[in-house]
Amino acid sequence: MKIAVTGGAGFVGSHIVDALVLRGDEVIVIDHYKREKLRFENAGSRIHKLSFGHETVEQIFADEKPDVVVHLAAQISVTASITDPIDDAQRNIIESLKLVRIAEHAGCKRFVFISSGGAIYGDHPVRPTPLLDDAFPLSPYGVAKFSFEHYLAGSSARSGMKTIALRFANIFGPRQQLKSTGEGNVMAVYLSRMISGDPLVIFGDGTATRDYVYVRDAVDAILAAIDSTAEGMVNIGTGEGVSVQEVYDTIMDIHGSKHPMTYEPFRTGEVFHSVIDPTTGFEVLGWKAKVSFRQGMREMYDWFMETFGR
Amino acid sequence: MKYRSAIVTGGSGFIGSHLVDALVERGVAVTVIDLVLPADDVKNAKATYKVADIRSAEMTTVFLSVMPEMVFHLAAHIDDRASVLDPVLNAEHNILGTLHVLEATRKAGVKRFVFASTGIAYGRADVIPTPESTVSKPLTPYAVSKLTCERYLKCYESVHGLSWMALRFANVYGPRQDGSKECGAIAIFTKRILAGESIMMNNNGQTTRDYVYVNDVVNGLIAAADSEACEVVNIGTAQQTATESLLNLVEAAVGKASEHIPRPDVADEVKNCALAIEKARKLLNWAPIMALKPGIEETVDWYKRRL
Repeated sequence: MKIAVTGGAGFVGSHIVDALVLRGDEVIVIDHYKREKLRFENAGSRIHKLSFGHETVEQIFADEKPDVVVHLAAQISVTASITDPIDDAQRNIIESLKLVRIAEHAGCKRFVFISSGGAIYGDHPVRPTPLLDDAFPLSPYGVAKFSFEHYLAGSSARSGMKTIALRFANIFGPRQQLKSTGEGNVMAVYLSRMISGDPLVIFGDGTATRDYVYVRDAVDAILAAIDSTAEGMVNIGTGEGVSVQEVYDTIMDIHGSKHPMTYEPFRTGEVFHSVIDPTTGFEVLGWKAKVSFRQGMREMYDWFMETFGR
Repeated sequence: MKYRSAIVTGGSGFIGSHLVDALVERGVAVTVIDLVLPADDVKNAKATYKVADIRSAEMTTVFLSVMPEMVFHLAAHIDDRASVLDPVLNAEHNILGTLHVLEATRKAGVKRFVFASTGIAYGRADVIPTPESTVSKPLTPYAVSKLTCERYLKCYESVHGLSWMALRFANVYGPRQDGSKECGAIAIFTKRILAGESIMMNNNGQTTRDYVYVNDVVNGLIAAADSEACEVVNIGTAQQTATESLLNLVEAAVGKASEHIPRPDVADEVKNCALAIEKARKLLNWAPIMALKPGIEETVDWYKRRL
């Protein structure tokens, strides 16, 4: 199969590209190369250094005629979506909608969208949160993801391109870095600050939880979604909540000594508890998380220290 | 109305122009923001008109100079069928446009925001008349865009403390409705029958809709402004009317029959629709006053006078 991966030189994208090339798929990467310091290239893929919203993407699709699109590229900052919801919607709704049209016109048969369970469900009282038809996201980022999923479901019903949205928990693992803005997931932030010698910060009292899916498991879910014909939305998570305090403790344990830490007030628009019930991921895609949080954290720690450590 | 100044986006349009008249009558200082000026016979001499595109950062400049107490956001790309053909254009108007208006609203410290949404957002509902508690399953890009805006409103409430209400309108009809596009069955029928043209009929005339008169909708908008609840509320009549019966009523009002041409190739995405209105009754003390027959007669009379 020929598969186009937007954001394919980034953290999750590059892992997918590697897995696809390994299993013999033809892979086209569309990635703007702007966000993190490091981008990851697979020599077996064809790389277009462009934003997925760039005007030449239409021509690339017309020439390449990929069978499948994996749409990972996005505005990914919750905080930025609050400061500039228009830019967030421009990229995560408008330009993503344009990509759907381009893919349809190029004759794509499958569109796999990487959505966000945590941002869509917000602080849902039911945890782990099962797949819900309705949701009230707390941030513009979550609203845009929710919106685009609905656009996809509608277009899937009307066109030959079948779409699926994977509502992911928080993906973590090697190659995950801080953004150029200094933002990133809590592990990347902690590991960077340990290397730079800055104190670690817990926003809130440390009891906020996230559901962390290891990147290899995430790749398995995306591969299953590529190969499946299922439509609609699916939850992908571990069903287990890990608190910020546990993240800190686990990293300190792996590191072998304690790094200083301070507490600061919780940030607005951020979700407090997010745990995703992966039942639909198993039912629809036969997917289940395999790697434990500690094992994944260990691998991420090793990669981070090797890559950025002294 | 408790607020003394308001911006009405889309105030040159069908519902907007009626709202502007009602607000001016109540002594409210009204600024209209629209892509176009209204026709001369629709223009309200006491309102201020500003031609501007809601999809631009100019919104903030306009809002900061007007500093309205409240906002009625009615401007939108409303053609459901066209949205299927061009979802991007629809989303640029309805999503980016609304976000520009919301950002301007936030920066100008507006006290109340009333949004015109749509009953089509429910999709194919199992329960008819459909209550607000029903999970929305929007089918068309237009319906998705309106649901998306409602979610942004809720999000602006939690992040910025915005006071808002979204009214999900049934099919609004009445004088001044533009019958030149694919929406507004009563306007389209009236114009075509008066011109002696035939009527295209989808789904054998069996598709049902809930038709609510524009003056009732205007009363709903004003009640929503005065309310403090931040909720989605239906505005309709809870009655279903099949297109065929509707056409009979319009023909009777015009006093002329028309040729009906079936359009089997055009599917109606939503076959049946009527909105439950208990929530509007309770929360807004609102109920529709105009029955369909006299409402259609008023509408037809207006077209006759104008054409």
